[in-house]
Amino acid sequence: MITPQTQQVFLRARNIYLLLILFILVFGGVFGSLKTKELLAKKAAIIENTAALTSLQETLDKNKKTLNETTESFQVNFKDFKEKIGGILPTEEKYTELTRVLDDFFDKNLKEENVIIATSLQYSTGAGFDIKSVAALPFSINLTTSRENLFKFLQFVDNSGSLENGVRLFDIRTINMTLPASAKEEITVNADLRAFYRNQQHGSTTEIPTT
Amino acid sequence: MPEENKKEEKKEVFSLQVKPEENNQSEKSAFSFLKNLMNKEKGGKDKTEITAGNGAQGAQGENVFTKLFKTQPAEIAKSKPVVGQSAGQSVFGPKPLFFKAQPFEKIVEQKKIRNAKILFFIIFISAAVSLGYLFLQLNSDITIFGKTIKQQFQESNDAIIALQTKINEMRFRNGLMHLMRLNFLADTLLFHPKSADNAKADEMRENMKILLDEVKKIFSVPLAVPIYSSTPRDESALEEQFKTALKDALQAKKQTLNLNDPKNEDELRTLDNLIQLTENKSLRNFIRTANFDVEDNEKLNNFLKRIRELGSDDLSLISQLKQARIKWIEIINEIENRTRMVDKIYGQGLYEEIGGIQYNSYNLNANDSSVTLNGSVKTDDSKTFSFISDLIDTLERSSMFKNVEMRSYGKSRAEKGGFSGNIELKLKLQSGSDPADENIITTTPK
Repeated sequence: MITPQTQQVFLRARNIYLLLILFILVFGGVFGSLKTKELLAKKAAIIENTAALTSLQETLDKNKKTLNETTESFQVNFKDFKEKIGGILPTEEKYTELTRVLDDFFDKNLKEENVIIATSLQYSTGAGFDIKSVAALPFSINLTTSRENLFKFLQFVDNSGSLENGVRLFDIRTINMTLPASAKEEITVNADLRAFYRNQQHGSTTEIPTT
Repeated sequence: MPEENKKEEKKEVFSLQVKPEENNQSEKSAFSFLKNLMNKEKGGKDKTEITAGNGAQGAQGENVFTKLFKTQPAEIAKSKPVVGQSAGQSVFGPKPLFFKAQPFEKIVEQKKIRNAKILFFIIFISAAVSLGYLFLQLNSDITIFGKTIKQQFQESNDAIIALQTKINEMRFRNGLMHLMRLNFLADTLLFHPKSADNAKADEMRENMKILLDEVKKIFSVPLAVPIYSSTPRDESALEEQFKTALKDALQAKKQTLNLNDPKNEDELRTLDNLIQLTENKSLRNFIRTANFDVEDNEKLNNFLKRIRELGSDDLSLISQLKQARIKWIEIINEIENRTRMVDKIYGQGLYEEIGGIQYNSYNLNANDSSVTLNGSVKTDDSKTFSFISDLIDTLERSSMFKNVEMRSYGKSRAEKGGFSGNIELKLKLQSGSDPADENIITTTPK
């Protein structure tokens, strides 16, 4: 015969183990079933993805074929389009090209009775602009010009950036003119201009700080 | 407590052990029932105690033992002892030897506990192994047993995204080329209409409608395809994920190209345009939702202008920059025209002889849309200030200028007669309509 106290001790010990077993079964059962469902679902998803990849590859091949056709047609019909775009909005400052364009204009319009002379030309460093992916190259120019050639120069700036002439796109920010008493005399012009180009920040199209 | 119980058990276990040496009260009390029994046999007359194991004096009369054994206690003591018994020992015979054995119930209980313990450990280890396997497969990147399900799942999703990103890139390249062709045609139709006659213009419009339909088909297909995910995701989040993937892929391609190599200029420009197009949701949405099947040329022109405004390709950017540019030649022409409205002989070189208005300098500033005119006026009467006011009002009435100001007036008498004064007019370039344009009327008759 064992005493009641001893019996209680044995009962308590047995109950603790039984409770632990029950806890493990319940918790493990619930958690395990959820995770098992997830595992099976992911396995099924992997199989379906493999099938989807095959279908996507076919779509990619079709799109490549279509793109090749479009590119061929584009290159045939718009042969000089890219060259002109490259001249109007180049991918970098290209200030030497711009200098040649301006010099060419001044030279063409310089006449004995109608002068236009650029006495100075100064470039700053290109900087960001309001429109994303476009940068501006600031430069200033001093001119001695007749009234007629001044208007020609202003018209030249207004026409820049056209597909017809392919001239570099630029604009005038400020212009100060000292006008002579007589219309036949020469006008002194000091102008600040900007020439535009694509902002090719390597690896990003975020704006660079404006000056 | 258990120790006390054990002691009690020991007491209980050993309670029947007979010790001839001891003759104490506890032993006496242990056999009190026997004593009582014997006394009863006697009728209670003889209360002499019988103690165990010491050859104590028994009852002088007969008792149960004498009846049982037909001998007196002394005789019993002298009788042949059993194992362990020495002379003069208990009436109960030789001392039995008892083992220190536990009660049967305790053994059973302990067995039950042991079984429960074993069962617990078995279940615990099984659960740990199972759940550990599940955790390893679903949450871990440990590849001791090969790729886990988590890794395989992620890899298959990544492969889907990568392939779909390539498809999106092909589609956008196609769309970009269509847009460039469209813009090229629109450039002629909208901005240089004189370069195309009516028949050519109609043909261009038909081509543009076809191109618009093609572009609309391309941008109507979503960037995203369904992919499996552990958490629920809505369409917009998925679309955003694929958009980011496309943009990252294009950026990565850009990084592989050498910026300074002229051969890469074309591809760099294309990649830039593609990235802008990827980010330009408003343009894609506009094209996707607009109906381009219109007979009205005006509506078509408006669509094209809107595409130009929203677009981020080269031609659209050029168009936007040109739109923002100030046409200074028009400004100067308007200044001179307005001046002629006040001074009929302006610009004819007769200022010194007759008078009128003469400008010394123009300062034109696009940064703050301002114009400053410096010059002088000469009148043959003393109403020089009114003359200047007429000029101010006339300039203000122009739809190109607003806030024309000159708040300080001065004049002096000219040597040859009449009066002259300096002018410094400040005005702003006007965009849109200005109510002041219609309200100011010159009062000085000319």
